Amino acid sequence: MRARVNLPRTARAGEVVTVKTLVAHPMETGYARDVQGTVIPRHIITDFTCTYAGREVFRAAFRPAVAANPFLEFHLRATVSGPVAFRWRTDRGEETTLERTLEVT
Amino acid sequence: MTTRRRLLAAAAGVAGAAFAPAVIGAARPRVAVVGAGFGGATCARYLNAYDPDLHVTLIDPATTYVTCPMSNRVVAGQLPPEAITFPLDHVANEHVAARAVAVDPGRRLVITGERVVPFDRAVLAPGIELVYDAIDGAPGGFLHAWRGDAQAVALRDAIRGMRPGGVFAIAVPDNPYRCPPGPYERASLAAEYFRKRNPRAKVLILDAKDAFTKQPLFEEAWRARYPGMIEWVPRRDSGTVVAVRDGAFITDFDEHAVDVGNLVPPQRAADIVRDFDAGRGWCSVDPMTFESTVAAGVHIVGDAIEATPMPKSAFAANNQAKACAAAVVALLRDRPPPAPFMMNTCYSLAASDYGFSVSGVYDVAEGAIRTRTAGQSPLGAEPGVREQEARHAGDWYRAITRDAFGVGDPKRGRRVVFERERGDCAICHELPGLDASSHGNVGPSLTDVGARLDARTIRRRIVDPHADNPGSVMPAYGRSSGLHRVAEGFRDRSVLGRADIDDATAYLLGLKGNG
Repeated sequence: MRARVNLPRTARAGEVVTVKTLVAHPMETGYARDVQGTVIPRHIITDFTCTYAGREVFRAAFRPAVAANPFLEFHLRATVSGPVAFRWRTDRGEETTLERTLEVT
Repeated sequence: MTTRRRLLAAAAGVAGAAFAPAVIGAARPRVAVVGAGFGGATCARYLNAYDPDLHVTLIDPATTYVTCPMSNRVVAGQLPPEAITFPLDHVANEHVAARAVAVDPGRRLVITGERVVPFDRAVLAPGIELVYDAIDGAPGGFLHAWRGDAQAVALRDAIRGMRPGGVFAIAVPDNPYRCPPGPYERASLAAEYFRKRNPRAKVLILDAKDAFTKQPLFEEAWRARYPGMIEWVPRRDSGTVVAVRDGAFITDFDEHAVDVGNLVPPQRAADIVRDFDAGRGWCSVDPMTFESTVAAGVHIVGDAIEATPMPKSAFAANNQAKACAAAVVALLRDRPPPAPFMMNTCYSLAASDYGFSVSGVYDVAEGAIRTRTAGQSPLGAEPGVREQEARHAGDWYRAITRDAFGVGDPKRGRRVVFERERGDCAICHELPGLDASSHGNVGPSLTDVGARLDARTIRRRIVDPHADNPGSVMPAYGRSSGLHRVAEGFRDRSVLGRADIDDATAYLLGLKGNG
């Protein structure tokens, strides 16, 4: 899973920053069939989390209705300098993680 | 007696000059056609062909139409803009050269800045509006070159002037939009230009989609012809352009420096049909008749409608227009509309000598348009096949522009006019190159007819001479109803077909009296 995140490198204390994430994944519903008529097995991202300075600040549970290559946009309040970590996990246990540092000035 | 007759004639003349369409049209059903693209022009021409008694008024501010098909060849410097520009003189009984600003279905009026055009039924083929709202800072000076106007030439000049090794970027919207393969053809033909003139240049496609039509065919062509030159960035890799500023296309995750940027924005139906789109951006129609589902008596065709699975293409608009024309003619005569049977063929050029295509056949079932069969050019074709398809693309273009805009071939027209089994015009008229013993003189000389009359009038006088002159003894060459003493072989058919009339008009228009 190729993943992208976008958030500022620095923010003032108390500032609300926008976080955008994009991950490449087919999000196969389990209902579609291939050209031979065989059911394509379900394969979806089920779980996304974002932690900031070790504390979970955002979580999303994905269902089959979520389109391929899910894009998320959310906000968090800058409090302390620290790592912002992202994790996507699929129904097969695959995982992609990314980490950025937010410096609070 | 003489005085009275002269007075009457003068009165008729005044009325005729000022109110000709209204007076002539009063007893004839009136159809207003808004928009002179492939949908509108085709519909106007077929309305007249299916029922010469209709009075068809075309409403479009332009006197010529620049096509979107083949405009990528103009962008790439392969064709001059004149090659994709067509006059609108052959399209309808009357052309109101003004922009329609509103359509009033209740009072059955099309309103322009200058006058109102009453109709019994209207056909709207207004095309698209470009929507920049979702792109911050747009258009910001970036060209779209997506609506058949001077922007194609401006983009061509920008590409020609790009610095060596520069980046030409195309921002592509999500579906639905006009001409789904257009951006990829444009990237291909720009690459063909760069390969010769600016070989280190790069073509960057920033796409709001994760897949596109004919994708494997385009990608195969790009590998074969322009290795390493074209980069496609899909939505999943942050291809969606969300903002622009000077020299940059910006996505949610990246900023791309561009030397020449072509911003093709999201689209919706043109403003004139805003009241008929039910807030959805595209108009919904009854596919049997193309009558709007929200405005009775108003039909809509082409890119402005939601016609899935038909794409927003010139050929789809052309075929919808014919189905619509047949339905309008039937409804005006209180007959049931025939069931539509439509096609789409769409050629794309990956290079001037490298073409491929998709095609589909459509009918209507359970109130919806349905694909009966569809297919596309195979991958890995043998040598010569792509070249042949590129030639087919040129023939396709000649055929569809002829069908929509009716600009005939004067050489063929000369034969139509002269041949005894077809026009045999010399039986009554003087024609160039004939001595006095071999032409009649019941009608006026035609040696200078192109200097005296415009195309629309010449065509009308071939189709139905009595429309202008009820006392004319000339046969109607383009009608099959309301005639007297019709020979057995001509029952239910006109003497000349549409193509013959187009050609004869083109020939006669060229007779300017100078030999």
